[in-house]
Amino acid sequence: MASDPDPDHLANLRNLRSVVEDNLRLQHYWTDLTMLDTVADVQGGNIDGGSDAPLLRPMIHGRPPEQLYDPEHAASNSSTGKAPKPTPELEYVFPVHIDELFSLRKWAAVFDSLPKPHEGAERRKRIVVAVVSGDSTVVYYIMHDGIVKPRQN
Amino acid sequence: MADSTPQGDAAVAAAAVVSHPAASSKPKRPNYAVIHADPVPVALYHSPPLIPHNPLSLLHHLYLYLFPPVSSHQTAYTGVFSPVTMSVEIRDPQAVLDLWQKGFWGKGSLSRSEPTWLNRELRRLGDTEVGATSEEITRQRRDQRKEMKKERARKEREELQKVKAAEAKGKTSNGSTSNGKPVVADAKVVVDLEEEINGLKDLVGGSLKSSAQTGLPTPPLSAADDVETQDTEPAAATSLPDDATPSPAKQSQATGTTATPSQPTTAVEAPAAKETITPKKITLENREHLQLTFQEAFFLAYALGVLSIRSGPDESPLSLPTILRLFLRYSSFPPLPESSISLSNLNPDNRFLINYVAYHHFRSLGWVVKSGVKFSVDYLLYKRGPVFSHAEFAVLVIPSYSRWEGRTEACREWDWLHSITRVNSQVKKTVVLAYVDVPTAEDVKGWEKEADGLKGVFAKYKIREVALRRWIPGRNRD
Repeated sequence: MASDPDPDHLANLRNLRSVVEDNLRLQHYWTDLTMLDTVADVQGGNIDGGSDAPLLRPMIHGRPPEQLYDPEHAASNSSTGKAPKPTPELEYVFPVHIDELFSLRKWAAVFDSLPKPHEGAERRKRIVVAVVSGDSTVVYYIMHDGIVKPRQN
Repeated sequence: MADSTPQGDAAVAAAAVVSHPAASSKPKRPNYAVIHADPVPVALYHSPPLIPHNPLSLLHHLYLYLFPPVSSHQTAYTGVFSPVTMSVEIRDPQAVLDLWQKGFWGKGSLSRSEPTWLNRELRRLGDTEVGATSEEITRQRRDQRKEMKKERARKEREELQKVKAAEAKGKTSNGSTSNGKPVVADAKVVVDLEEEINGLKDLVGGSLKSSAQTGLPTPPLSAADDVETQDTEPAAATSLPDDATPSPAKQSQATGTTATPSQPTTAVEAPAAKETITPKKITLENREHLQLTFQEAFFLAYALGVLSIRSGPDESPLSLPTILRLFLRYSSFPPLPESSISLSNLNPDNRFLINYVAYHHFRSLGWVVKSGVKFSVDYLLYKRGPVFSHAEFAVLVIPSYSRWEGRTEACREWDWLHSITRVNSQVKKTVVLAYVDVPTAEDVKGWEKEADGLKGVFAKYKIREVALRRWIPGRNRD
């Protein structure tokens, strides 16, 4: 899948992405949406020399209206109570169709291909998986590379 | 206190909405029984029983035949097949309204179920002429819960700090012994906390203002929060066990107590009045469509005959075999190759056919069938529709290949079934396994040469249902 040259399948994946893009923009009010096809599409995402290396699959880079749950900063954020809210961080959204089958190896490859924000930086440890189904429902999951502190309910 | 923060402002607006229907105790609900009176978008009429030896009866039937009171079974609606969303889209506002009201077909592509995006967007932009949508009501509830959780986190943190401070104190006063007796310090803190909680109990009944001085976490003192978090606030502030579940009686009690200070009530009225002063009208292009799944679209086109499907807004309607071919192809992701779909050599083991058979089965029995993707099942069954009650049943469609020679049934693990039943029992739904017995390609061969052959194909599928419920020996003895 990593070197999927099939243009038909790429078109299908772009269709899938456009559904998620509409959903994020119009239903959930995300902003600063960028469509990512190659690593170079990320702002300043020029890594390892391979400037236009293709991403594993088309993805979306965008800003949610509110900061998504972040286990590392959850404690410090809530302690400052009334301080003005910081700008929400940009997130990587990974569209999949509900009928697709994924293995652990594929997910690992997805994380490995994530672009780094700038040279020498660590890549993001999490993505937002957008599961598209035929009745237009998009179900979102946060997927994290590795163990995270569980969220309190 | 909190009024200056954006949060506080949002809460004030929410409170204004909440406080409005306070006079009539409950917000007015539209009369759904009238709006959704028709279960299908087909006009039906009764004709009296035919009595052959009675000339009057014959005349009546002749009259009904020649001048039917309603022209039934016309293709009234037009949908467009979309390979992008892999569905059929309806954009004509009248058709969208009709299909939603008469049988709850489809889903608003940018809404939870009923297409309300335009209304939500208008309200967001400040239009005053449209009413609240169900999405907004849900959001209000979620905001309340979020507030409650924030309060709880703060309280826990302060407790922790107290414990730490007490431990530090113990350490400085009698250095080595503190290691041996940390219990004493803890017990003291617990007593302190209990006292403060008791103190707060009284404060809930009295003035809220002074509670801020006790140092115990209390909800922000803005007027909005008093009203908005009325049911969660006592639980958050004091974590009294009996306050954990909000009951109607408690709610009214809370309203009574929080409404006593004069300052909050005036603050609530002010924004409400401001809201009604400036009427505003906004025009906006609707970016939302009603999205029909292939099953819904095929039921409307084939079983009811009220939907024509085109491949583009300006194209001519597609024939039923073409529609079937498209749906078969796009039933999986990525779509099957064009060459693999053959109607004369129909493969009955196709995801669309299997799902459609199950859909048709339950729709024909009068259920409103919706997608169950959020509950990890295939379908949800509503008795009359989603506006009347929650779905009672969650259906898993499982293909069964008993007629296929040499094909072993795909097995699933118990934990798969267990997790699905657990999820659904949480939301009080009964899981139904719908086994669809798939005919072989041999069984359906030659269907296209017969009149109404598709009916014959569907008749060869058999459905068996098994309802599941977890049984806990200690609790349910029946």
